[in-house]
Amino acid sequence: MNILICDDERDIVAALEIYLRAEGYNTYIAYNGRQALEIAAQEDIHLILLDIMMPVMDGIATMTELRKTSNVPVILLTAKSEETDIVLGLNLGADDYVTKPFRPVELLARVRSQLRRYTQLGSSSADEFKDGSRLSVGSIHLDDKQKIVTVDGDQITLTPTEYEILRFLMQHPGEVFSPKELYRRVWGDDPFGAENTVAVHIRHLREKLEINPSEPRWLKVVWGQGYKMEKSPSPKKGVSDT
Amino acid sequence: MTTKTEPLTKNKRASFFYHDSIKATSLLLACFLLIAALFSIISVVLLAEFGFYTGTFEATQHEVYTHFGKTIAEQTLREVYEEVYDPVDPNYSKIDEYDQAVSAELLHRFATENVLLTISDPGGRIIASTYRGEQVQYEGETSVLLYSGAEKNRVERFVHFVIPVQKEGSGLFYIMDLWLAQVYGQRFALIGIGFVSFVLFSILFVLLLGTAGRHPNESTPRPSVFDRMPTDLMIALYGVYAWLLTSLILHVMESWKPALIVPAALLILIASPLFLLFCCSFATRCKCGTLLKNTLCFQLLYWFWQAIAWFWRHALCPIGRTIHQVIAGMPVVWKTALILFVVSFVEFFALWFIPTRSALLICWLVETLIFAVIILAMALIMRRLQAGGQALAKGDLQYKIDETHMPGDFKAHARDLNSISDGMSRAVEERMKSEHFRTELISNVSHDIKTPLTTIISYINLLQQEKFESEAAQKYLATLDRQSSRLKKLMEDLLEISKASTGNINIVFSPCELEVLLSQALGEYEERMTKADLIPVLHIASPSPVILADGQLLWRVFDNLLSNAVKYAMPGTRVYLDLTQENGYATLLFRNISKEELNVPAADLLERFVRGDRSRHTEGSGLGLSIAQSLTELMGGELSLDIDGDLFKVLLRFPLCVEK
Repeated sequence: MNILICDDERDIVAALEIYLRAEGYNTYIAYNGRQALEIAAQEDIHLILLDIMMPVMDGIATMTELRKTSNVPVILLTAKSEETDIVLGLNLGADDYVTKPFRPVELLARVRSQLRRYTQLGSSSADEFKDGSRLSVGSIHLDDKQKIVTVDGDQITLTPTEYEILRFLMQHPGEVFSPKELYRRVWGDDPFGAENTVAVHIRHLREKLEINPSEPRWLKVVWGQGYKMEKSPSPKKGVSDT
Repeated sequence: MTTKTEPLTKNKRASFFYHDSIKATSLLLACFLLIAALFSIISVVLLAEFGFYTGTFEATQHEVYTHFGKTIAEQTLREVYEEVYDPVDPNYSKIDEYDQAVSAELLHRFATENVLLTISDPGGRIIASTYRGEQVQYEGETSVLLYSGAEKNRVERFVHFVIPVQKEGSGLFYIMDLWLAQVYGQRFALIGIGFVSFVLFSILFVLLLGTAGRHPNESTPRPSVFDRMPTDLMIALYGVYAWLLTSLILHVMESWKPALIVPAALLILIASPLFLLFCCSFATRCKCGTLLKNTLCFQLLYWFWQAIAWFWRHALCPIGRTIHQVIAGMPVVWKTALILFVVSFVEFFALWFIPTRSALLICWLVETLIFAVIILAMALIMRRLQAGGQALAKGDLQYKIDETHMPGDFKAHARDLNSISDGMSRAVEERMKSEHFRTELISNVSHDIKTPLTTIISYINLLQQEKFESEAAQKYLATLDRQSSRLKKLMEDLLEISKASTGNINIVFSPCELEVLLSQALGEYEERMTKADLIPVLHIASPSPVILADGQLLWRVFDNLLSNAVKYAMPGTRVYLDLTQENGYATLLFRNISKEELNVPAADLLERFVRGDRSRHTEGSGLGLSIAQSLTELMGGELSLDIDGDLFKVLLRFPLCVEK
């Protein structure tokens, strides 16, 4: 797997190189957008880590240029203050983003997730069952016949309640359910004050499904209203809620 | 040695006199004593006048004879002449005719056997006489002035009276002699009786006054039915009584009518008890403090005052207030026009009564018209200035007052107001610029710090993977890791507070069910709460309040509050969350017991970078509460802190969402 790292901060690039090489990836290095575009055109790149603030050519311009020719997964590296940049980047076709200062572990997880999706895309979508026993939202797949849930191809273990909640939410992507409603639909019973357990289960689910549970990409908290499964099946349109 | 028991015995003795029977008895006794004293004193005075105490019996007798003889002689003379006197002739010009009539017959008709008279004129000529040579016991002379005109017209008659020797058992002066002897013998006893009865009466009088209004076994004086009668009414009744009494006595003295004797005697008889009762009632009223209050006049005045007060409060005040409101609410031009109209009307009215009004009226009309135009023009200008001032007060700095057609002073004022708005908008602009600059600065600085921080964190991580042999190195690395995380958190908080306090945050308002948000937040914190050994206790009013807020930001508020509780609350205690709604507001009361002593005032805790323990050895940036407050205020809510000993209270208040 070839990964292109593009950041003007050489120390960060060096560190990332070490991490990625340790994971067995092949790395290419660029210190600005122009270099990155050149390398991307020459080499067979599977994923790009792209910083937004760079000299010569910044991340956003690079993205715009890149997407004209390639749909290689891009993870943006940003400082959180550039909120509008993140939204812009994701809208222009970035697949994910990591805010600085990030934890290397998180970055690696996101890299892994994007690569899996990139390589498995197409093959997995073909064998989806029409009867709805197989559900997928983003990188989360649920096989109701085998009772198996995978995230980026990795199987995860869920308790029966967590499984029921996830299946219900995946059956209704984009819909917001209040804790009461969710309890009623999943438990088939009136909550009578027990809806607080829903929040706990959702928290656990997020910890298992999401790379950063505090900033979930799929299983979202709509504060003051309820919970929902993000509808968009295409991560390229995923927009952060921050 | 009896100091202690004295009040008691005194009380007992006093309460003995409080009994009604005692009081009635002393009243009767006092009446008799009063009558006796008065009678004796009047008698003694009369006797002293006749010389009872200064001369011998003979001298006294002589004095009495002289007095009565003179009185009878003068009275008879007058009556005789009045009988013959012609009413058309007031100055006794026909005195000779009268003298003849008197001498011929009339004297005999009026003469008594007790006193024998001889009437003579100033020249010594005897006109008439009833004296027939009787044996004289006492004789004397007196004169009567019949007409007291000028010196030469004066008519005077002399009368010589003789009291003959008294026949045994009959005649006025025989009885008088007997009575005189009796009285003369008792004359000193009379003084004694008068003195003793007066002293006794005084004592009883004081006693009566003292016991008036008192009752046995009652500590405070209490008025009787009679005492409750209005004081002025009582005084009026007594006045009527006194008038009756005096007029009757005068009547009786003037003309001797036997029919009047009985009522007069009755009135005199009840005079002394009535007097005493009056004194007692007066004393009682004084003691109870009802002397002035319990009068018809006072009651009338009081009612009158009440009526005025009521009228003032319920009629005049509301009318006045309404008029005031109407006038205050009027635009300045209308107000001026109204005042102008009223003044002109009054002037016109006044002028109407001046005789030569036609010329004056024309002058007045011209003057009024000119003034009206000027004043209304000024009011119009005033309105423009007012509008400018109001716009300025409301913060509309773009508003400019139109200065055209304004005379000197007004123009200057308008220009001043305009320049104030200019200055202020400049200041606001500058301030906004500096705010913006600050936010920009913080955001740039934080970005510049973030990049090296990312590097540091990355390399610390790499080092940790290097698996050092040395335990110390492991420890140092752990410290570096912890501190770099803290630095990261601090950076994030700093950025957030800078944005929140400058309002540089995109807020998306949507209906938020606080109950749902609370349960979501507690779900997020379930594990951390359990770890910190805290038990959340929820009280939620139904229906659950719904507010208009940005859910994400509201979560940040709750996140900060709960994280605060997890960090600073005493393990093993409860965290109380009370959600209520009233008066259009939803309130969330958040309470926990602090682990450390809270030696910082509540207001200080909301300051940035302040932590409850002041020692700063705990984790966290000290920005949490400040962030929560700023975000709350950005969404139109209020956040207040209260510290009560170790009890830490946060009160969140949001206006309720109007439509669900």
